[in-house]
Amino acid sequence: MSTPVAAEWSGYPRADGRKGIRNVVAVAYLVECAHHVAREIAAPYGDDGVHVVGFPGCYPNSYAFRMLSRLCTHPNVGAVLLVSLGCESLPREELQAIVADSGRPVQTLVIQERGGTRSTVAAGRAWVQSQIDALAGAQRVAMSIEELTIGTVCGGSDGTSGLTANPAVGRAFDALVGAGATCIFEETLEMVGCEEDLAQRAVTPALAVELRESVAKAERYSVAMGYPSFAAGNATGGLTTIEEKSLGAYSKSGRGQVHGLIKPGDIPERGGLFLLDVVPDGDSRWGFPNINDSVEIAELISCGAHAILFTTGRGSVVGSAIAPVIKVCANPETYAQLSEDMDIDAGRILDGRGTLEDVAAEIRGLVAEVAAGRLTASESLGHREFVLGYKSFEPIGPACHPAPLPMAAA
Amino acid sequence: MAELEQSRGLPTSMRNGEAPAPYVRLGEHDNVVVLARHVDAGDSFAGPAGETWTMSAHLDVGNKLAAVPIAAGDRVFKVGVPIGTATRAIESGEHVHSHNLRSDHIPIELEGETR
Repeated sequence: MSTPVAAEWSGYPRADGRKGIRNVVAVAYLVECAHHVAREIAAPYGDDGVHVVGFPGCYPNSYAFRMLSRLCTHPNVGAVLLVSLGCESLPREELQAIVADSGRPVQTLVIQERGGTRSTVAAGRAWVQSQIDALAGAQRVAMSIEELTIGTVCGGSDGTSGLTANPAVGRAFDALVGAGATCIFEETLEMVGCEEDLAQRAVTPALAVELRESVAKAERYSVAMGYPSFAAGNATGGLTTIEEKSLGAYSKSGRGQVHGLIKPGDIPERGGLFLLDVVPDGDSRWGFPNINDSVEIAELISCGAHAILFTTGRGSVVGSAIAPVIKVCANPETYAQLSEDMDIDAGRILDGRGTLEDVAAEIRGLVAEVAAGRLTASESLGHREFVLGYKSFEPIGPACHPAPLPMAAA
Repeated sequence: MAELEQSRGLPTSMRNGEAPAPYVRLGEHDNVVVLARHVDAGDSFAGPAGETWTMSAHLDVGNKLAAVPIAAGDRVFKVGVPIGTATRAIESGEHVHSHNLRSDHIPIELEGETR
């Protein structure tokens, strides 16, 4: 039906069997008090793949620890520098051990034990430079589509998002999953009204129950917050209600079967289509679950996403640390204004310059090129946004992750 | 949501006439259409039933117009799916937005008004 998704390129092999499409040095601050030092360490290496991630909180949070553990051992990461103030709660020795066990070079700098800001920045830059030099000679091996994980998110949605970019990504997802890739969609807060259709796509009846419940949880959470996932810009862009926004957002998932439900930090063990539940379990605590799009992007990456398909109507310009972000612009008028930040002009469907299938094919082709090393617009502009806050999750149940081929065709 | 699948061939309605309408109807039984490009006050074009619509204000791409008269309390359908309930009577061709449509799930308050 369409052009094949590109066959093979070369990636970076990791000890856990996964492969990376980038070889980033991650500098992770373990509390906001160490953020400036981490940023200063990374500052001279803007074009050399040194990315800052971190957690601002001083008090313990197992979700945040798991997120940082997953991000520091993400297949796109080749080496990790941990920057600690010294008195924060996050267990730095444990994090260092997890990274070391993954086979990656890792170093921890404790500002309070290093003589302060200037000394720590100097020591950090020396270590980062040594890692950049070492990674330059990294071995690369053949990597195929079955080894690729792609996430999708939408941000700055408007009335065009659900007409062009989102269904085009959905079609691209159908093709990528068909070729053996792992695809992850998310934002249950924007599936309100779509839960029955979603449940019908589950590979098992037990998973259908879990999918339905995940959307119900999101709706309860929104009601508790007194506000759904809906911003002023959505309304300016012609969207009126959360169920209308959901309808468009949901079409990013394509029409294929849903193979599992995961939570932040869960890594799907096989190809297929997975829903990432980003809404915390338990009582509503700590305010809005996702204060912006960057939170969701970091969560998709924590589940192993190598790259992110980001659809936007109003025109988001963000990228991300760790994984490239591909901008699929839904609105032709936005594209004309912001083309330097956009990778794909999906809005051309609306003014007759292309079909949905043309755009879906372009997305699939660009995914393969980005996997092979082509820089996305946000990457080349230096966008490396990263946001991580407090949340709490219960582990997923067995119904969320059915064994392969669980159901004979009915 | 079968209509969602069909809507992917968009925008067929724009290819049918010499002067393509600035809107698309996403589901066969939808009572709203969606603007495929912006319109300005005074713009005039035919609605899906052939009647003449004249715009009273600038509207950006992505906004909705009533495809038929909608009564207060009627469900509003887009891509064949309900997206809320009309809070007052809406004339054919009139802008459908937060002033006359409200969520059946979670009302939204933006700067003091309820959507």
